[in-house]
Amino acid sequence: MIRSTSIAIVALIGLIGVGLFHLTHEVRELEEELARLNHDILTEQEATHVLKAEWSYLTRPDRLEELNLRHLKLGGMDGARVLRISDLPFRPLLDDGPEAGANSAMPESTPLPALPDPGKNPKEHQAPKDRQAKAKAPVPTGRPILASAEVTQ
Amino acid sequence: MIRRRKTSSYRKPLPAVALRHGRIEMEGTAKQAIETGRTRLVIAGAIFALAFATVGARLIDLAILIDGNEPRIAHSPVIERFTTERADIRDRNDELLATSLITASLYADPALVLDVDEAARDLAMVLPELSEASIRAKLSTKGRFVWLRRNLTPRQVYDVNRLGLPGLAFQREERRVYPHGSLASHILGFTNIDNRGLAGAERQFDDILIGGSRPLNLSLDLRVQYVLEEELAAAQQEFSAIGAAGIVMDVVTGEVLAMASLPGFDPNHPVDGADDTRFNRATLGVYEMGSTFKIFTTAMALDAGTVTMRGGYDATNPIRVARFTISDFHAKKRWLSVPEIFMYSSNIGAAKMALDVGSEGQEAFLRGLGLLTPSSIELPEVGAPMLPSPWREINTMTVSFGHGVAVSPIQLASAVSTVVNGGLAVPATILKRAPNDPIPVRRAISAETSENMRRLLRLVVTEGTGKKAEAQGYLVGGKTGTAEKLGAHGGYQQRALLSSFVGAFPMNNPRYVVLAILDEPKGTKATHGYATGGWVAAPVVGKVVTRIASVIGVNPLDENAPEIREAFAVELNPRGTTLASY
Repeated sequence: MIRSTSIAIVALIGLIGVGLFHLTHEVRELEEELARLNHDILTEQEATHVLKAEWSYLTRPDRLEELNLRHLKLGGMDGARVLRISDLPFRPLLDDGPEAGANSAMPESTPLPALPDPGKNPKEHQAPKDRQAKAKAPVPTGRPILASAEVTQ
Repeated sequence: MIRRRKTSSYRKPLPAVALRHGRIEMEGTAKQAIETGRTRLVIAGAIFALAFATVGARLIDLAILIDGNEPRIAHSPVIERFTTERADIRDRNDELLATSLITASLYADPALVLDVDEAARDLAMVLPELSEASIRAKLSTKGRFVWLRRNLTPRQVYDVNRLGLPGLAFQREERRVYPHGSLASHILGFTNIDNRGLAGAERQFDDILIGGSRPLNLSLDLRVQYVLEEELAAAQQEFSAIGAAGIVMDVVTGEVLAMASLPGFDPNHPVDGADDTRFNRATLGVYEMGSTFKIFTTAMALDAGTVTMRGGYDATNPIRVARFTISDFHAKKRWLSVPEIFMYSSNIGAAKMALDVGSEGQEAFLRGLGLLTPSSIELPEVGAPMLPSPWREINTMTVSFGHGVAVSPIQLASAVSTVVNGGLAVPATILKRAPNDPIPVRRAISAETSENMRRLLRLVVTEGTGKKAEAQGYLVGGKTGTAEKLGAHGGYQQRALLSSFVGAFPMNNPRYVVLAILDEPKGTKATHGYATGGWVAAPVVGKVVTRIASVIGVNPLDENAPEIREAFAVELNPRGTTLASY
């Protein structure tokens, strides 16, 4: 009886020993991996740092301007090319309700506030021919393009 | 026999009967001894059992039960982050302006170098910028450490390693890099090879940058800086000026969005250029600004109440004081109203205006605008203004139109900010202000005076000498200035001008001041030979405003809208008698 208990205990100790050894080994491996990953992160951070400097170098304003001239040929932004949301014409009311249709006082669509002066607004999304034709046509006697801009600030 | 039985009885208790049988056979003393032994054994056994039970319980406690303080997930004790010895410098939008990159520096231990001649020859081959003789001299020294070359490229490191020479080694080092080259070089400054700041922000904030892991955000906007430098450089070339300076400043916060001084230098190689390229004209240089000072003279007179917007002075005849004659460049030879004096930049009118306020009032007023004390901007290169001493009546007159007192461009920009922002003096800064930071302001002039000055400044651009500064939709206002520079031997030089334009926009509620100064510009055919502020500097401001306004979020307005026209309406000639004379 005692002998068998002893054998069982020794076996258990042996088993636990092996298990513990295995666990220790695994923990050590994980720690090594952690250290390696931390080192890798550090290396990557250093690389990112260098890349950020390079990105900054590659996005120099003078280089961007040169690339623009070579590939895009975008012009400068002057005041005439900026409009406010409030300056945009309203979209025509397409789906009028029956009441609106019955009401003759209601116009079919809201009139455009003004046609832009072609000389003043070079950013019109129109074909060049169209624009030329417009330029020859008399300037519509609407409000000036920015007239509705309230004076804020 | 007894002995054997005793030992066996020790291990394996005999049946009671046998014991009893043994006891019966035993003598009294022996029996007593055995009884004592048994008792002791039981006690010892109990103590040991208790001890083992305690240890066992503790083991279970440690191994299986979890302490409340114990974290559920184990963490690595050391979490490293990549940091450089010197923090980055960024602009207000987090664009990188200065950073530190890791490089390798080559050094040698001369005692370990076997063949000095061979090492010198091989090294000179892979590092052509080092001469063989200089390497030999370094390797022949007695010491144990000598730098051969700092900050090698990875390619050079590879080449040196391939030589396989003993006694050579690399030291991991950092090198300061400015990705944008000469852009904003005077604000950034530069460092020496040991990464200590020697000029500009690098020097001013050296202590913060060293060991700081957080980047330093300047108030600069790289895009605005680029536009300013480009337009100034173009004007400098067009008018063959020897130099140029410019500033874009937020009038409310005092933040400098851009500051340029041309010619510039590359902070990556600061010593390559000529010495004067490292001179910051915008903060260290002090100049007699000329007519831009009439902004302050007019504001002073309006603020003091010695004249109103409807008042004026007779500018028919030049003023003769001692050996000086004060006359007008654009002489009208008649009575001029205050708006006219300002618009036509009349020296006579300005001098008379200042005389009415008096020398003491003038000095106090200019001091209140910060024009008589060095700027508080955070740069080591700040020039002290040059003032007349003593401040006589003749000085009062010359200072009224910007002669006899020399200030730095940054002081001028700050003072103009105060005049247009509603009258509050704000210290200029190159550091980005946090949105909720309290701004230290001090009232210098009344809001009403500031309002009137906005109209006058706008008038100069719509009707007066600064028409070329107009930027459609942005309501630029400003004042031209043209000063003759003092010659090396005293006396003013007619040919050497300092032409400037200081403007603000949008004038109905100014947000930014833009200053452009050209040093010794020469007139061209396009300017009919003129090199005055209105011809050479005003267009720079107009172009800069047009290009930066949409970038920094200023919406264009319609100048011809009735409410705008009304806001800037100025009665030019209240007497209304001499309108026909021009």
